[in-house]
Amino acid sequence: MLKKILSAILCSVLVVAMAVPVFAVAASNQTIYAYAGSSGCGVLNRYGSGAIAAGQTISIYPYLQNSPDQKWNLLDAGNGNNYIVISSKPSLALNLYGVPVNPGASQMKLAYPCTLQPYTAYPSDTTIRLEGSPSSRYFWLTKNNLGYYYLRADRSAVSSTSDVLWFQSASALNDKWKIGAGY
Amino acid sequence: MKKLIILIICTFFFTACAKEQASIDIPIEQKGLEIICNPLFAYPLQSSNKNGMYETSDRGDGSYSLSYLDFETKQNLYLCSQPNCAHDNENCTAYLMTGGSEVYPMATDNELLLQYIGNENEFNKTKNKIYLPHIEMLTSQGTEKKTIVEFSPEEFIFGAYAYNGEVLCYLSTISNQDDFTVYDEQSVYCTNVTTGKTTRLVKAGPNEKILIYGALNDELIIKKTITPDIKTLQGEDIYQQMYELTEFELIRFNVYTKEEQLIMKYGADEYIDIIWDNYWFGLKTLDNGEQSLEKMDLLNNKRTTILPKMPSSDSEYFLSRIIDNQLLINGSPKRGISREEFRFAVDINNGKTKNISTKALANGTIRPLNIVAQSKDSLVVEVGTKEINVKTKGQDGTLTNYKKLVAERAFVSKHDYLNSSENYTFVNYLE
Repeated sequence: MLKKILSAILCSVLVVAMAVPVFAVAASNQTIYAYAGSSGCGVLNRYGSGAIAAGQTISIYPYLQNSPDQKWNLLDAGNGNNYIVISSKPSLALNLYGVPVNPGASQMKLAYPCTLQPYTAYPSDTTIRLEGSPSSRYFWLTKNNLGYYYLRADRSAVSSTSDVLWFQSASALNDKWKIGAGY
Repeated sequence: MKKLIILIICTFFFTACAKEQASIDIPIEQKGLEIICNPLFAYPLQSSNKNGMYETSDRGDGSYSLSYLDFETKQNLYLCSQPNCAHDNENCTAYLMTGGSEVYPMATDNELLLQYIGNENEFNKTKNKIYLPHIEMLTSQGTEKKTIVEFSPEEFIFGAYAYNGEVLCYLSTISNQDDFTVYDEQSVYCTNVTTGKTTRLVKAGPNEKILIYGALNDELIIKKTITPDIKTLQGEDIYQQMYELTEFELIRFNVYTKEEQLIMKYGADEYIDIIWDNYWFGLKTLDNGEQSLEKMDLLNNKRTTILPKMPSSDSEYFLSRIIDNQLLINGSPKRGISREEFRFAVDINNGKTKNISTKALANGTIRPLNIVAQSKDSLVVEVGTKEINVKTKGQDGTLTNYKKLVAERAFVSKHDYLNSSENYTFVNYLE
């Protein structure tokens, strides 16, 4: 219970803090945090403990200052594309793992896990394009090929831990991301 | 007497000139610059020279191990010559303390360089210099380690490295922010590894980004991306507008004289390009939506079309690497149900294409083999996965045993690979 209250307080503080800066990010080597949803309480986070490694999954988790699990870099992949790599191990990027979590679903509703993998080995599963506008304060993270998969925090409430999956359509609030340099 | 004075003056001038020459730091036996690491195109935890491949791997306790795959014996072993060594402390040449962040080997024929990405968290906790981003130089056997460049904690050193045995060039990025924008300060620096003298070769201007894209003789090929000022754009599709207005420049920079020369300039979506050795390759988007493949010899800037039309307009292509004058290209369907990737080789001299059908399961999908190294005659490829037992000892001395899924690697001759033969010789892993 105490943990939930603390999470709620932290989330409220972060929402207020987020109201100040608006970040415009273009492809580069910038260090970023990616905030999920329009209210943006949680950030893109390496799920698990111990050493960061290929194959690990991605979650949303409340912002923790200087956590190596939450610090990412946007690498320029050329032609308007990017890789989103984890800062302490920049060979590893956000990746679409090719086994769906809901294999019986129709093609449009298939969802794929977001994991960490070397982008050099799997460029087609790690190349991402950012869309949107800084004034609307969010970004769409778009898979550049394979039918445009979008990165989604797969819960309606994104204020706590949440799975991050790739979906083929973008319509939900949880497909929106804000990118900033931290607090 | 007059002659003597003239002689003295001449001697003085010649001496002065010679001194001025020496300060340019041109190596006596000068090799051309070579790209020794390019993390945008090759997995940076592996690096090979003509004899073998160095590889670092995470031990899970804040350190990395350094191993070596000998191309001749086909054996993979820790880069350590001590008998019965557990490879778990800094007295071992195969043990690299990093604070948990990555360390990239960069092999040349004569030495090994190690680039530490750095771990700011560990640095702030311990104020220990080894956790800052830095570069070390070692012998090929991993001995005589010395730090040749140190960076500040806020520097993100990531990108290609070019080296000629004397001068090491690299890209430094520092992210800053104001109320509206996160922006980068990017520079390419060159360090004389003997004297430690570092000079800035090029600095990106406002709304510019730079990459080391290739190297040739005394020159770096820099790719410059020039974007419009985002504050001047309006609407809901600012990033699309910004991309459409982006321009790219390929520029030569002489690392000694700092002379620069524009090679070519192109717009967004015009080319997907790479540089391999002394060639630039570009997939050009044509007006009808088709793509063609061009090459340019960087020795004379002569550009030719290799393939007037790519095999399919419904595929996304990635230019990969060159094996014996064959450019490997990966393709994947742009949309639709099929996600199956494919690979083919294009002869860079006559445009003949050849499908390469060998594939393996990786990242949840059957796909073309991952090539991790190439020697004179062979390739090292990943043909599947296998489970191995791993033993690690934490900094507190606790021993941990766990199973780890790793890639199964094998040698295949270049000829066999280009003919889709599965004539593999598996790598022999030694403890």
